[in-house]
Amino acid sequence: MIIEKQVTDSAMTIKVIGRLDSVTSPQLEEVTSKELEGITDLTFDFSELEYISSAGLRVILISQKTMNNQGKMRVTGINQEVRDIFEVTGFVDIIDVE
Amino acid sequence: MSVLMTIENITDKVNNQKKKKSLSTKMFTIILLFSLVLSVAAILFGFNLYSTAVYNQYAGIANNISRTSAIVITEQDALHYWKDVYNIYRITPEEVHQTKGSQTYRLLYSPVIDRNLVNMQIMLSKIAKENKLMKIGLTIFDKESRRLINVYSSDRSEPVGNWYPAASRRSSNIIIHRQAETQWDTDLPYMLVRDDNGYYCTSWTRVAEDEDTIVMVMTDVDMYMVDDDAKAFLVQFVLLLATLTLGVFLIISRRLKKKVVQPIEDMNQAAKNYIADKADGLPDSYHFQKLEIHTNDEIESLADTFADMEKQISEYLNNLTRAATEKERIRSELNLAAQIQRSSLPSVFPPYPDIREFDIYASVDPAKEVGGDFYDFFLIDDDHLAMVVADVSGKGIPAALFMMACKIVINDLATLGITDPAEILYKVNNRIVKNNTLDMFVTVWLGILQISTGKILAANGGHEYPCLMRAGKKFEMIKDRHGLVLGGMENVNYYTYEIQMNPGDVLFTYSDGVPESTNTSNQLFGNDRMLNSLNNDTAASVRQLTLNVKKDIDAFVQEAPQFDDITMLALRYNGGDNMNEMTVEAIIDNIPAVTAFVDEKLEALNCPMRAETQIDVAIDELFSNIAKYAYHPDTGPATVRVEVENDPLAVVITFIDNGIPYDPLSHNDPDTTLSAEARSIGGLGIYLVKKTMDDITYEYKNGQNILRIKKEI
Repeated sequence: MIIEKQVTDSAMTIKVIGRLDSVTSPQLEEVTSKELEGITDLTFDFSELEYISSAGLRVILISQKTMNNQGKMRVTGINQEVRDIFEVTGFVDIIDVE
Repeated sequence: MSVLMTIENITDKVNNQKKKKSLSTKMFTIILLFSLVLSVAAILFGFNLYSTAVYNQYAGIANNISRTSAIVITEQDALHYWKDVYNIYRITPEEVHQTKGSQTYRLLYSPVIDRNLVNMQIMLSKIAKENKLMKIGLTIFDKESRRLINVYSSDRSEPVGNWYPAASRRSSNIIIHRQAETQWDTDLPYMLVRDDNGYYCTSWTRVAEDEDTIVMVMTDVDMYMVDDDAKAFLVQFVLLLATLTLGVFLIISRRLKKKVVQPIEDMNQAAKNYIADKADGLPDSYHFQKLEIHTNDEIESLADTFADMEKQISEYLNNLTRAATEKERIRSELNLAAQIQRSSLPSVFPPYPDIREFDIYASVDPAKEVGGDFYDFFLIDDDHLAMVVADVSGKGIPAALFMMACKIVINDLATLGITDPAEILYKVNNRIVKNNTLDMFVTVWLGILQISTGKILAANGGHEYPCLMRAGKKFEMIKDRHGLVLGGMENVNYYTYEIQMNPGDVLFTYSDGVPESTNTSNQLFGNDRMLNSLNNDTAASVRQLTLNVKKDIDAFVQEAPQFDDITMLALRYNGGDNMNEMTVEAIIDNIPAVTAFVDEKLEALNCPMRAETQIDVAIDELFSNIAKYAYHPDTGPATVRVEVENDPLAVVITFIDNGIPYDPLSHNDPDTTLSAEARSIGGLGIYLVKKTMDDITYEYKNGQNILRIKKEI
């Protein structure tokens, strides 16, 4: 998995390439737990995300909770497989998915 | 190159010699000078001898006449006049003596002159005339005044009493004095005189002597005549000698030319021809051997030596050419041997394109043209692959022959149906030992892979430790138990051990040429560097794996020469047909290996991408659960089994662990309608699996948690 970050003022885009699973999620959590301070607009670019497991969902959920307090968050570019998971878990209801 | 330079040098020297004086010129000059010196010496010596003889003869004549005259004077009673003359001389004062020649002085002695005296003068002048004498006369030597005083002589014009100093006649005073004292009568008294009177020989004989005087008859002989004779003799002598010298000179020259100069010139020419031959690259030359030099001396032996040398060099050059040809033949045979050796090793990769259960790659880089290392692998039957990596002691042809023998024996015994590698090595060893007269030995690692199960039985005869990489992990050395090298002694025991290869596992075996590759600072490549380069890219293909190691070795040793063969064999096990499960340590890091293992099965079934992704997510959820909780806080093994069902086509994946009993299905499903704030993440994974899989079951049996999922595809 590769994580590409882009910060413009208080807006941050995190692009995740590859698989977001038990093995790789800790890397993303490392970013979201430490670098979101002062960010009011967070975007997860999942256009090159292959799949996501509950470990990844957990990081997304924690990020959503953080952003609820300081701005907004959205997820873009998800593929069908990831969309399935978002739907099954009800994440489409609590996360702004484009 | 060097031969050419030598020839050029020789040619230069030959050219330089042309500028020098020729040998014959030098020799002629030397002989001529020698002849001249010899002639001059002969002339001087001969003339001296001749002169002495002639002078002696004349002096003898003069002396004889002196003696004869002395007898006549005595007989004619004319001797007594000297006393009268001397008496007058003695009483005459010295100042009067100084007037000698004057009329007054003459008159002093006139009383002495009488008829008899005049007759004596006449007789002496006759004797002088007859004998061609310059002068003969009776003379007194006055010891005190050292003067010679004339009594009478053949020269009638000389007055009686005339005197002159004896000293004026050169050293006559000394001679007279000496002879007066010692050998007056015995020797031939004479002396050569050159003065105003001319060149003449004076001889004398004593007729009387007392305390004051010596009275003698003195005879002078003209020597000009004698000189003329000597000159004539000299001319003749010189002419004769010159003719003789010239003759001898010509004879010696011709002889030298024939015996010395010509042979040397011939040899010189032969040497030039020889050099020209060699410059043209001709091995055979006969220039010295054709020479006809029979001088019977050092030059002949020199020519013979040159001829011998020429012959031997020709033989040597011919031998050299033969040796070079022979060497070329051996080299080409060595190349053939190397080709045969190379072609005896399986070298087409992949060797078994239809067998997908394993990938194998092997390579050998011989240090010399033919080496002692070898690898081999061959199918014993449909389910068994034998692998051999071996290193024969020594290098070159002997090692290669021994290696071929070992390779064939191992192959023979392995294909005979013996499945136990230790037994194979035992028998191979005994066979090799029997005919091992050269005391060579070979280290062998032999492994037999059961293709369907991944089980390798292996035995090690003194060979390097193999390296094993478990799927998703790093290469590590297997410190297997070694038996003795093969070929050392009979009835040596070897030990079979087992390596269970799981899908994705890679086994790497090699010869000592890998860790013992040495750089210019004499550092060894070593096991650590080898493991590092293997671990740099564990996902690499078996071929790439060996190339990576070789590349790192090359970078390490740089310019240092390769001392030992470098042999590598790598085997990746992909899983057998019946191989549908893998057991790994239950840790998060092993999830990719498990996923890869399952995905490979799915891809073989042409599983749709969507189903594969869902299964991958399910594996992630379930395996991470086991990793986190089953053995907490320790770790333990987890087995993942993949089975296929038909009608409808479905995959059943079973997760088995030996950890604490835990049923993940016992929890209620999470409420997926809650807001983000109210959500907890727990149980979401299992829920996800439940939703995406077609079936999920759990049981605890025989101390194992067994979770089974099923997905139709």
